[in-house]
This record gives sequence, C-alpha cells and structure tokens, in this order.
Amino acid sequence: MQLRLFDSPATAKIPARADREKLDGESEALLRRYRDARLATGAHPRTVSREVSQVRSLARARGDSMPLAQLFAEAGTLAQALLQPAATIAASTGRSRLIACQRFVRECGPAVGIPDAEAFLAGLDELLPARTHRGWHSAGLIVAGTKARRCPQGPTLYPADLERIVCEGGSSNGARGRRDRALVALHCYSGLRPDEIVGLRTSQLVADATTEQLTIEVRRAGRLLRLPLVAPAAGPLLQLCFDYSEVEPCHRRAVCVFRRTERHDTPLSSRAARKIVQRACSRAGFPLATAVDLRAAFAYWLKLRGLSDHEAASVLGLKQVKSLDVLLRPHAALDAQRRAREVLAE
Amino acid sequence: MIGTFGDLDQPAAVQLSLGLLGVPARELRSRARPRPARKCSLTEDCALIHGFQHLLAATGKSKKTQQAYIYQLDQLLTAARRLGLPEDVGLIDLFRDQALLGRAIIDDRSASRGRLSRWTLAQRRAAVRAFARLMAPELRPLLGTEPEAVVIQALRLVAERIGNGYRLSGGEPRHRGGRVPTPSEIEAIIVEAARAPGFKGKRNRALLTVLRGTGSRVNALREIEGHDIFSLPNGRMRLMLHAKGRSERREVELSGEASRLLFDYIETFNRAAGLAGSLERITLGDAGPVWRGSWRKQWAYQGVAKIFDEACVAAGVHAYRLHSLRRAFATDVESALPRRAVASAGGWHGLDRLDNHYIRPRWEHISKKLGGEMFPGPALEPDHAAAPV
Repeated sequence: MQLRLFDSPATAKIPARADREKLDGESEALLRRYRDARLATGAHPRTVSREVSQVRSLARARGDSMPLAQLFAEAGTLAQALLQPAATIAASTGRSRLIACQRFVRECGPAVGIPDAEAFLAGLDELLPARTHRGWHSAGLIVAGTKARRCPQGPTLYPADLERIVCEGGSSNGARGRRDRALVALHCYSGLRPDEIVGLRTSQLVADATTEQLTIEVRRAGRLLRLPLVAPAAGPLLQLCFDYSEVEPCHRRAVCVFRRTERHDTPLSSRAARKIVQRACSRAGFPLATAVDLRAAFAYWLKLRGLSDHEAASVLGLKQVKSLDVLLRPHAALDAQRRAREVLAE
Repeated sequence: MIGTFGDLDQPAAVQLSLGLLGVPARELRSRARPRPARKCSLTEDCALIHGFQHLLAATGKSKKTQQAYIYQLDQLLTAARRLGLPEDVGLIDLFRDQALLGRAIIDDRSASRGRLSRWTLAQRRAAVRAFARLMAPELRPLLGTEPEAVVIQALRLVAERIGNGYRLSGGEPRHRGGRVPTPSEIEAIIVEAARAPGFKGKRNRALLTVLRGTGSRVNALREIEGHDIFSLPNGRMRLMLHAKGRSERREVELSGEASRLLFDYIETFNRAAGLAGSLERITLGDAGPVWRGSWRKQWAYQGVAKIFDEACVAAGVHAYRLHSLRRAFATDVESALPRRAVASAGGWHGLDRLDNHYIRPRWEHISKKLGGEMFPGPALEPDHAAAPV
C-alpha cells in the first residue's frame, strides 16, 4: 500500500528546512565569503540574503545540488541553469538569478576559477538568447521565467466588504482583540503599507492642532509623507494608544503601537500581522484577500467620497497618480459590467 | 441549401425545415486547427525544435502557443519546399537563404483551403522570430550572423517600402466580425438549447445565459474550475476567467438570474451523478471542471458548438457561431454606454478590435433613438442583412 503523508510513522525523520537548503561545505564557505564582501560594499543585508538564496537555487537547478565551483566552471553550465530551472519560476525570479550570478562572478570569480570575470560574463551573454532592444541601457537578455500570475486571485473587495473585515478583526474585548482590530482597520482604511503598519510607533502619530485631524508620518524612498487617517482607522488606533498610555510612563512616546504582548515593547512580526489580517479576511468570507486588495478597496472608498484622482493618491501616499488607475482597474471593470447588465436587462 | 448542411449529419427533418424556412446557411469550416497530414518535416531539425519547445515552456508560453509555433515552423518548411527548397535540407539552410525565407513566411497558399488568413501568417512570423530569438546561441555559429537580423532582413526583402517603414502583403484580409443575433433570437436559441434532458438542459441554459450576459469568450468560460468561482457574502457570484493575452484573470460578476441558473445546474448535476452512482461532484472552491460533457470530463468546445448549432436550427434562426454572442453583448451595450465602458465590461484590451470586429449597430436602436426625426421613406433592410458574413 502506498504511504500517504498522514500515514508516515512518527519516528520518520523529515529533514529540517535549513538542512535541505544548504549546499556542500566548500560552496557554503564561498557563499559566506560572497556575503561578507557584498555587505562590506554597503549592500542592503536583505538584498544580499536574497542573492545568496538565488545562487543556491541555481546550484539546485538540475534537481540535485551541484557544487558552486562546478556550476561556475563553464559559462554553458550556468546558462543552462538560468534557462532550465527545475520548476516553473516567475520572470522576476529568473531576472534576480541572473543578477545574483553576475554579482557572484564579479565578487568571487577567482575563487571559483574565473580569472577574468568580465570576459566570463560576456561569454555568458553570448550563450543566452536576447530580444531586440532599442535603448543603450538594455541588453535584452532572456532567461527562464513566466509572467503569469502564480498565486490564486481573489475577488475584488468593496467598501461594504472592508466594514465586514474590520468587524471580524478582533473578536475579543481584551488587549489582543483591540490590537488586532486596530491592525486590521489600518490595513483597510489607511494608505500605510503592511511593513509600515507593523513598524508604526506612537511618535509617528501627529494630531493637527487647528483641524484636530490625525495624521501618520512615514518615510518612503527618502520622502517624508504625512498620511491622513480616516475615522474608521483612527478610532481603533486611538483606543489602542490610550490603553498603552495607562500602562506606560508618559515620557515614553516612541513605543511600538503593535506589540507581541501588551506589556513588552517588542514589535509584532510581519508574518504574525499578515496572519491576523488573513484570519479576519477569511472570517469575513474572503480567504484570498491580500493587503493590496484591501488598499484597492480603500482607494475605491475614497473615490466614492468624491476625492479626485490626485487627492486619493495623496491620501494613499502614492508617488504616481497612475498607480491609482492600476489599483482601481478591477473596480472600473466590475462597475462597467454592472452598467452593462442594467442595459441588457432593460 | 440543404446540401450544404449534409456534412453535418443533421437529421433529415431538420434539414428539411431549414430548406423550408429559407435560412441562409453559413460556410462550413472545420473548427479544429488543421494538422499536418504527413509526417512532420522537422525531423532533421529535431534537436533544435526540442530545445526551442523547452525554452518556450521555460519563458512561460502556454502549451497551445508551443504547439502552434511548432506547427507554424513545420508549415514554413513545407512552404519553402513548395518554393524550391530541396527536400533533404532543413531550417538552417532556409535561414541561410534570406529571400526564400521571406517568401516562405508570406506564402499564403494552403493545401486544404484557398488562401491562408493574415492572422495565420502573423502567427507564422511570430513563430519564426521567436525561434530566431530564443535559439540565437545555437543558430549564431551555424549562420555566422545574428539570427534575428536574418529574419528582419528576410521580411524586408519581401515587404513593401512605405514611408519610413515596411508593410507586409499577403494573406487573406480578416473578416470584420459577422452577423449579430437579436435579443429575441438569443432568447429563442437559449430556450431551444435548454430542452436537452437531464442536467444538460440546465447546463446549456446556464452557460449560454452567462455568455450572453457577460460577453465572455467561450473557452474562457468553458475552462473554469470550481476554485475559479467565488460566492460572495452578499449573495453574488464572481468568476475568474482566463483573459486572452493577459497574465491576470478577468473577474466577472454574474447577475442574480445567471447565478441562480449556475447554482441550479450544479445542484442538478450533483443530484443526477448521485442517482447514477457516480462519485463525481461539482464543488465550488475545489478543483475540477464546472462545465461537464459527461460525469467526469470537461465539456469540449466541439460539444458546446454542436449544441449551439442545433439550437439555432431548432429556433429557426440564422446559423450563428458561438462567438456571435460576444458580438451581441458588445452591440447591445454600446448602444447605451460609452465604448470604453463596453471594452472594460467585456474585457477588450483596446477599442480597435471592439470597433472593427464586434460592434454592429442595430437598425432598431438607431430608429428608436431618432424617433420622429426620421425621414419617412422605404423600409430599410435589417442591419445584419447588410453585414458581411
């Protein structure tokens, strides 16, 4: 009889994720050296960690892992790994792998037996197909990767759905319930991004003395933005902040708003925050809703209140107004369908 | 007239009724893509073609596109051999002769029909360019030059020089749409299609009603699975349909009536499957085809087209094609809404295709809007009589 996953005996050892991802010792040493070199040049740690992960994936492109020295021994082997991944990958992943291996060759080329990195990369370019390109800045190289959407797409949300999701945000009346409700409300009714919500501190909340309106200060790509906070989000957030002021001394203003526990100033992790939002969405009947869907529904909510495109974009903190068009495209299509149905029903 | 339908294996009574009604018959066309009758001529280029197919898959091209591109390369070689390429040489030699390559790309002679359409030639051109682009590392040393430059030069050799560009001639111009059924005709067709016994009647009614109400493409709707249907808390149903040429799916909201019909069909199917002892069920939210031709299998396009053809015959209307429901949607909605709204509602990328191939203004709409301002004259022909078929 064929064993299924739930039939496997409890003693069967499943390899830990970390063990499965590692390459051989020599390759791992090379990757450590690469990581140090990149960090020393001022690269962002998250970028470096992603590059290391992509190089590891390239080494496993043929199914079983290959030592890095063997992968980079010939440009042909590397080109094959870039063009024939073990599984279907996104176009952005394919591009990231190409960038990672180019940087790896430049930083650690001599260590894997590449004396002239630029000549090796020129040879790699020759082995990869390319599309015709107009600009001087594009090489037009083609690597594996599909542009098709990988994750399932959920239905478009409307303001009534946002209300339902916020209601499902925090079921209990305790501190945790209030925290979850405020977290979900900020996802649904603010222009803040998920990472900005998680990292929010009380010092970022600014109340305008003249208009008595609450705004949140965030920094995006070097720009300081002041995003207005609408009532459905401001209410739960202020309630949460009042709770903290009861347990915290008054002088500690720059505390985290969303904490793991009420009494400790450790911020909630992004994963935990995502789980809370997903749970609220699932309870409201939208299991596939993402933060972008909530943001799009909020943009539609703003438009329904008569805000112009530029005004709505400024509330959401969008740099380009045309990003609003992208957010509202599904709503526009559904509204058009609704009007079409009315026409056909006449 | 009766003879033209003879190949469709229609019952004699149906053929007779057609003849009596004097319904104009449409030209019979095979619905399936023509397959090469003889053995594929690409055997000598097997390794190249295999690599090409692999790269098409790796760069995200669908299975259908892969098959179409390979088929077009085979047809290219066939055309080149007709134009003088020896039988014992393959694609590489064809790429070495730019003039012959260009003539083979725009050769619109067909073994089965008169002329190939421009659309077919455009697909062949796309296949050749994709082959040159993706297989460049392999082709470059064999040709001694950049393969895509070879294709561009070959196309320029056979193209007409106009202004600062080139224009390719060849291929039969595409027809601009076709006849559009009126709302009463569509209703009659749906009623006839719904007469089928068992779950099939409900299925036919639901599918045709959704097609009529949303203007969706037949295959996009036919291929949905249980997890592509969302039943919202407000009672509405939304479908996530494949959008031609786009990576994201197209979201379509059903009317209350269409939702009810779809639910009815699913319930009837599940009940009938239970009574017949089949374990198959249609479940919203799970994988598995929604539109079934049998207990297990997805309803094939040919099956849908057959039902529609039979319903047209039974309703005594012109022998419309299934796609004419999308034209009817565009035409009827455009009469009341701006074109951009129609394009957004029906999932058209731009206005060109919608304007030129789908919207066929109805005489009834025009006369109703102009009302008393119409000059009293002789009765005009119905709009669809003047439309090219």
